[in-house]
Amino acid sequence: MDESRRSFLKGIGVAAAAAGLGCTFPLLRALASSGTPAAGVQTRQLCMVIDIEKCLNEDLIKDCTEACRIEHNLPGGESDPERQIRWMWTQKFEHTFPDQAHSLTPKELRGEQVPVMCNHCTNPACVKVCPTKATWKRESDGVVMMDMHRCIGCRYCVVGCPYGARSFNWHEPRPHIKNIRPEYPTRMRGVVEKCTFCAERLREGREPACVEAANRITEGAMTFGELSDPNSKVSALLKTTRTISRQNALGTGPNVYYIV
Amino acid sequence: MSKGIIIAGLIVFLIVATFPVWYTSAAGGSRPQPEPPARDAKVFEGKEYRCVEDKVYMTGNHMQLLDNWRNLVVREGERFYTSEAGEQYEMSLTKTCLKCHPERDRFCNKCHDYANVYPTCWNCHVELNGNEPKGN
Amino acid sequence: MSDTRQDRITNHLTRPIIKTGRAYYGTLVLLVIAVIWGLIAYIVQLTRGLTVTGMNNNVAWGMYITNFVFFIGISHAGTLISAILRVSGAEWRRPITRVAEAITVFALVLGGIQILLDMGRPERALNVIFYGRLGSPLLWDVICISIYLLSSLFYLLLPLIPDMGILRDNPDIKGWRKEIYRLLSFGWDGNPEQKRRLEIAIGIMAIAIIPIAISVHSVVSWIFGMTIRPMWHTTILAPYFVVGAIFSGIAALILAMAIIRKVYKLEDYLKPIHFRFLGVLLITMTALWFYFTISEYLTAGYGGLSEEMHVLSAKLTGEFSGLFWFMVMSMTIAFIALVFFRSKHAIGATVIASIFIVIGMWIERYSIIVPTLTNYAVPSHEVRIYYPSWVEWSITIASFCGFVLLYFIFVKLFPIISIWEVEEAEEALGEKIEVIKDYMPGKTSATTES
Repeated sequence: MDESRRSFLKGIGVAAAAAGLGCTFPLLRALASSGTPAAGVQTRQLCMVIDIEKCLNEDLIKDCTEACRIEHNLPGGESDPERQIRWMWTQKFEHTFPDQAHSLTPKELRGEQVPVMCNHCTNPACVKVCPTKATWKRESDGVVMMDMHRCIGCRYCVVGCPYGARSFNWHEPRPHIKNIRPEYPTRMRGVVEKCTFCAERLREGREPACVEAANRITEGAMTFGELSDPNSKVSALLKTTRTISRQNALGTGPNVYYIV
Repeated sequence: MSKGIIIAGLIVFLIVATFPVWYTSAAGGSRPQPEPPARDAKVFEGKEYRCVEDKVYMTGNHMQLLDNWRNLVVREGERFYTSEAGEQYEMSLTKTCLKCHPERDRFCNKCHDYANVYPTCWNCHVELNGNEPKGN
Repeated sequence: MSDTRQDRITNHLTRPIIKTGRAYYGTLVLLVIAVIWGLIAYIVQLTRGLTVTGMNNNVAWGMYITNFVFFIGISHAGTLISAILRVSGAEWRRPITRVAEAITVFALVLGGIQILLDMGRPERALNVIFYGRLGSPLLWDVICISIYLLSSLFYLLLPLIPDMGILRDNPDIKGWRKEIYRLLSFGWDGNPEQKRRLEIAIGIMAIAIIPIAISVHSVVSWIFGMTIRPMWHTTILAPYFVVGAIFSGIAALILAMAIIRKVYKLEDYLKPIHFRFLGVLLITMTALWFYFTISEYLTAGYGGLSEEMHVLSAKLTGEFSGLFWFMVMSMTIAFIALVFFRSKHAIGATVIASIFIVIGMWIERYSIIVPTLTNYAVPSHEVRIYYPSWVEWSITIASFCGFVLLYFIFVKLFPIISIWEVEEAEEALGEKIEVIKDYMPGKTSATTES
């Protein structure tokens, strides 16, 4: 009896150890995949420089946002503005740069509509909190990407992003898309999406849709390029003009700059 | 007495377990016949296309291939796939696969319905003819 | 003599299991209806998406996450209280430990479900394991809460073993229930070796569970604390949440005890003195809660960072002031009831205080989560206040009913007061006298040497 009990206990021990090892495997795997890009390594980083003055033009803004909407099959006509899917939109100067506008800034200046989008931060708050790496910073060009196939819809990134750049698909988006452009997929309900600097166009060597649309109306309204390249147009602009970025003090390192 | 119960139970079990097999054949089910692309569907811009890999491989492994493409495109930012035969293809469901297989009802769904699998591709990806997608 | 006393205790404590009144079934039906209603609401949410909630891209988390934090908080009743009381050898714990431990397990189950309810694509939940990123605080929660659930389940089952033996040998119990008891008694026959091993196991678990419980509510707070949102990104959040958790946990425990003693006529087991002692703990926690709250709000208000001031003024004087001051008032009433009326009306005072504390703590969770998200610093359109929809209300109410339902079923199947531990109290009597003698000058005994 004692002998059989001992072998029984042994069996249980082996089974428990096996189960324990089995459980650690996904943990180890998770640990291995949790790395953020090594600090100090200069990786490529795409960035955008927006000229606020040149963008004070309703037609230009309309063309930009419309180009983005068509390009990515964004649903429109949402009755609740807070549930609108938006990759690019405008908001008041004082809300965009709360630490730049003060109580004596003239009302007109405070109310100026500034185009905003995902900042593709160097240290993105959304990427830090994502539990599944459904959003991540692409090392090849610094774009903060989204994988709609993997997103579980927990909305932690929506909560984590201080710029309001992320939208959640509260309902089925398709019925709200006017003309579906078959070349680009729509999204399914329950996932988060945002601007990807038009990753699908970048892949083909083209500029983002909004930049193209804006510059068609006013040359130089938006400039897109590589920050890590000292000879690029954006680098030159950043060197020679007075630029600001959104809520710099938060330490996220936004990569969309504004010429004031 | 319990012998009878056991045998009866076994018979019931066998009937239930083999239900899918004989039900399908009784219902006139046969091997699915996905429509091969028409000859002219394979020619674009003067160039004739072959499927990225051979038929046998695609039948068995298209799901892994597509899954792999998806990860390479979305996560690694890559664009082209080099086939076994050494040809380059853009890794895109819409721009590559659908060129020859534009209608999923006549191709994809033939087998998917038969195998009772409902992949969620079409929840987001769009058929080229712009049909408002329905169901799976 | 001792035998008849033991028999009497066993009789009293197994009575709820053996005899079931009509009121029980009535309540059961009501609870089941409420849960089914919640399920219907959830099916509506599944088919139409989270659009049926009141949430939006600014306030992207609402009632479900509030419930999550609240339930995890309530779960600290249990294990932590019972473990601390066990470790510190508080003899009066004996009749209340299981009441507390059961709260823990069921509150954790309901808390975990809240996260699933909140997800946009719940069918992908396992991505958290397949593709988990340990850098995300959400994953810390998945790990800590899983460990906590497993260990508190274990900690609930361990002390059940001897009681399962008692019930297994009860001639009035037959059928499938007897089978359950036979299985869960793990061959218990009460021999000294079994007792010794059980004591060791319970002792280890009681110690292990304290850091686990603290880690759990710390990582829950870090879901918020690790972001850079105003009034969330503060170092006080983890201890504030842990204190709040134990606080609401004790209150929930008192409510459960009061109901059980009334319904099952266990006045002789859950006595006023138990409520009085728990009341003392509750006073301490109320004081701590006030201390943390004042510390947090004073720091934010005095510093006056404009981002934080937006949220702070929304709470103190703005849209959320009603909720905020109701919470403060609840805690004040609880404190007054506890301090001034506890000694005369032990049960009445602690129960009233507990009701206010449980409600107040739910509001506290809500007013930590929602005002910050209402996004005063960077409003994309205009500030809009979040109101939960009928779906959220239904699911929330169903969740609470589900919690009570689980508890109800548990009470029917297992003795809610630990039979063997109460019986053992008499044996402990002698030990206690020895221990007290040890405190006194001029005496050395075996216990101090070892």
